[in-house]
Amino acid sequence: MMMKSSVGIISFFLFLTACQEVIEVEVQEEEPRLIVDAVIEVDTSVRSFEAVVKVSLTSSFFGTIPATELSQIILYNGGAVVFLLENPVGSGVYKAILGPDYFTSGGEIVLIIDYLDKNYYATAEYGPAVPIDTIFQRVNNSEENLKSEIVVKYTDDADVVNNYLFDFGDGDYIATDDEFYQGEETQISYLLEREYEAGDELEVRVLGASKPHYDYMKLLLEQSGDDLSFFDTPISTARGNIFDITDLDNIDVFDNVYLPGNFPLGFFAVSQVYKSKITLK
Amino acid sequence: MSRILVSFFFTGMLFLVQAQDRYTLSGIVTEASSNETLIGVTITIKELKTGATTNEYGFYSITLPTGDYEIQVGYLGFKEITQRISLTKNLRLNFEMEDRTEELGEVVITGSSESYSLGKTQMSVSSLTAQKVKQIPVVLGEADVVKSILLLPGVTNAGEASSGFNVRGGAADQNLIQLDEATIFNSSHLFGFFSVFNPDAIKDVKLFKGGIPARYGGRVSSVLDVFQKEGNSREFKMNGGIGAVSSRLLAEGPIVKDKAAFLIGGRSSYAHFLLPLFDIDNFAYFYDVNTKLNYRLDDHNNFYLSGYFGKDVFSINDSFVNDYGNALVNFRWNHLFSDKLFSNLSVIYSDYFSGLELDFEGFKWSTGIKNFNLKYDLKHYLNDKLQVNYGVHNAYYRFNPGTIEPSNLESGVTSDQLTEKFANESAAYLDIEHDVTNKLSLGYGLRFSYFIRFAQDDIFAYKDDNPIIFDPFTLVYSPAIPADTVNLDDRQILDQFANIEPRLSIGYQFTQKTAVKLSYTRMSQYLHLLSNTNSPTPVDVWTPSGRYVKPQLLDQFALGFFQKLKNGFSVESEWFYKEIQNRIDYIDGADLIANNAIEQVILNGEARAFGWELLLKKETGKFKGWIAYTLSKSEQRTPGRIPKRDNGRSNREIGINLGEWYKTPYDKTHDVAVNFSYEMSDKWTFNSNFIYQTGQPTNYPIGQFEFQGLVIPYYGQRNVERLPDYHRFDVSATLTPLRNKGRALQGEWIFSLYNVYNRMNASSINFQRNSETGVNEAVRTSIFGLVPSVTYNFKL
Repeated sequence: MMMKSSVGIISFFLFLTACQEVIEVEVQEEEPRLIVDAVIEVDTSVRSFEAVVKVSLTSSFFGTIPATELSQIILYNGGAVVFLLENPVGSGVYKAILGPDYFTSGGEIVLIIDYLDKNYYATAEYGPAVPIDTIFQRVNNSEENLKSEIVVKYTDDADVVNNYLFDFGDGDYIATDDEFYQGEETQISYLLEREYEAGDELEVRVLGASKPHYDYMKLLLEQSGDDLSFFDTPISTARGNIFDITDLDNIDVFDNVYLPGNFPLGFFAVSQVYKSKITLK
Repeated sequence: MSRILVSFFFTGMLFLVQAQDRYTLSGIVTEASSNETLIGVTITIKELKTGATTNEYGFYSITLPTGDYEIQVGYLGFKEITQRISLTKNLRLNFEMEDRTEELGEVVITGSSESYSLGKTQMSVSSLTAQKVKQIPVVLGEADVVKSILLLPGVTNAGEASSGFNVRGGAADQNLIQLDEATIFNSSHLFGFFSVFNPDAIKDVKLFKGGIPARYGGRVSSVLDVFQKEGNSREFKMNGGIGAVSSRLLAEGPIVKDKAAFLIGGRSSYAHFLLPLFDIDNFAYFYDVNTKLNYRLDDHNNFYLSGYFGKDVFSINDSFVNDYGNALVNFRWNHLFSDKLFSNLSVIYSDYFSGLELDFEGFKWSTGIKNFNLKYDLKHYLNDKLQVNYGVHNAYYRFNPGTIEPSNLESGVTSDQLTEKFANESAAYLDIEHDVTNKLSLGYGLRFSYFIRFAQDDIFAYKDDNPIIFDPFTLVYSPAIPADTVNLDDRQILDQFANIEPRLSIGYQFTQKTAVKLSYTRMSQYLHLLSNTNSPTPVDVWTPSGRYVKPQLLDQFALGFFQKLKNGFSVESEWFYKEIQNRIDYIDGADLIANNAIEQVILNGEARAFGWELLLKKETGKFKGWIAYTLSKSEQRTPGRIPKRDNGRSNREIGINLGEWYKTPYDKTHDVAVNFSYEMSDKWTFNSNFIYQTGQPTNYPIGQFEFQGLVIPYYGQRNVERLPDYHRFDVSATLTPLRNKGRALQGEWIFSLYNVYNRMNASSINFQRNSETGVNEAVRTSIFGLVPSVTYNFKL
């Protein structure tokens, strides 16, 4: 459940006992692959918002990631088809203005992408979130160093199963699910390790995630983090929920089992979002 | 089948027993100064070129035709005893052996007792005495059993700061680790810096890598059998040591002279181990206590009560606390029904617990396994050609996968108990050691094991009985949502498994100095450690076999060649091949912590390993040591499940890692271990180790991508690349001050240098974006460079 943060802390433990050094490593490369960053953030407190999808291509680990251009990208909620348009042109960022109802009226949301001569498809379920009750900063003034903690209090929704992704910016997330606090008021705390100045604002966002979205994010957090040998799992490709439908004719080919290499990276998800700001001291 | 075999064995035995006038020579062999029994002493009958060895309790028995014989009693490191006897009636002869260290100069070994064991069928076994363990230099200067066995061929681990060990390409949870017959579920202190065995309290260590006798079962890779000392029943003694990280003290002595003795030993690391490397609020420490009482009622009855308790704690800012430990109590009764029939009854209770407290999430989790174990083992020494061992074992397990509690008042976490699991494992075995001729010996045995998984409170039921769903489009496995929760009566049998495990070994001794051995072992393992990391961690949880987790089954073949050379040199060479069915594997991103439905994240696969081991050894003289080399391969595979539904589609799955074989994390192609010791004078002894291992399999990214503000290295298949090769060189010098002579207090200093040439061995390489520079980089983590240390040991 709360794996990520414990991994982070144990890494912290080993980090202090061990010696770390940046080294040169020769890495293999493969043909660039499409990346789709399609987490639609649904702000139910406003009448309309921008649904944003970013597309790019993979590169060598030590290279840079180029944006790319799609032939077409659409959303479909069972009723209306919505075309997303690139804005600004050349950025690989596709947008459409939509209201919350488009996503919350129930049922699956479909994403279809045409890229080069391939067609990709994904579906997503709406992931509900809850608002943040309070947010405050706790400064532990010990002799040696100053530690700053951001404490976020929230009340879990008793009626549904929730998976939460707390986003503190800079790629820092805490993933937690309500398995052990269904319907309860609870809190998480985030250790602020980055440099900041008093008066800086920090935005904390809570995203609701469907179970597949939550599991995928946890896998990415594990693979992007600096956890050390203790919790090193045999890592391999993190496959998302977007798949290639080009050759699926439902006559001879019913699935992708025989074409395991044809897949884009990334994920399509629809997440309710709540945001809260705190002025750091 | 098994019934026919058994009756065949007994018919054969009866025939042999009634052959002619025979008498039994039996007794106990002890160490003279302490009256401590000795394990593995050979008693050779010179005229018949036959003999016996003492068992785990120092007892031997051999039945011979009437006659006059010359007996040699030999044990490495002790003075050999030669005695003439006239065997005209059953004879009870106890021997007391004296340490050879008091003798000056080179000692010549006659070799007769050595070649006796060469002719036995047992292969793939390594014995270490406590004395040897203490000589091997290790990091931070503390002698250690597990660190010592890593120097043997076929044994590796995941490097520094990793728990457990891997034998012949097997996983750490596939090792049966026993302390005084009780199973130990976690053998490490401080994440593998130390093992749970206090070198002062142990007597003998045996590691079986193959050809495992039928009296052992329940794990599929190896058996590490450790026996504690009984306690000195002649005089009160104390010894101890003060080291850089921990200190220890042990006291032993008679309660009733020559009849009853006690032993109590304790160790503790300093509370702020590695403190300088931390800030002030963090700590990590361990302590453990070994106790033993023994009572020799008469020549036919011995009683032992032993206990072990150990605990580890480490804490960061009080907000992250992990503790774990083993506790066990063991009562044993040795009873001699006759000169030929030795029995041991063991009653064992053990408790392994581990806890994790995450204050920043208000979350406390504790897990454990309780085990009640009964063993009755008999050794029947029929004559000089035939020994029959048989017995029954039963173990009852209670698993707690997790108790969840709030760790502070502000926490919203509600208390929860994950469903407890119950199981019973029983076994009966028959194991025959048969010297067919002076040259040919056979070992054949059978173990019948039977495992019951009892009902528990909440059992999840799944649609189509399928707890893990495969998406044929995205090719991702994900947990199924249970369709129903079933509650069954307590103690109802949920699942049961039975396995027949044949063991066979053949030894053929061409000459006094040359032997060839062959063995086949089948074993089953009903308990699994849920761990998807490269080496075990204290938060890993043991789980029993059941509906979705099948017992692991091993088939191992080994062939060995053994040659004694001149001047105390010997060569051993072994080949092995093994296959394991039902090795569980974890889907990508499987979350094992506080998981109440483990079946949703695992699939059953298979594993295989093969290799060649070479050991060149010199066991006598001032200059001793060995060179061990292993060439091996260890792989696993988890193909997709076979489709059950027929809806006109293929319903095929890709499995884990596309169903292809991939290297296990313990696949080390080359493994070299060299250990040498040199006794320069009475004052100085030097020891050194050199270790070289092919780097551990891992993965390097084949690309990168960005998602939601994260930069993620993108990996291909599992374990394609390797970390850089691991190697290091250690030396130690032991100083025994000459003024010790005639003093009550005997002291010694051990100066050691670990990793002399300060190699930065990679324990991992992480690919990440540097948050300050925004540049992607590969970061190597190494645990230890050069570590000097000093330890002071004393005896009183």
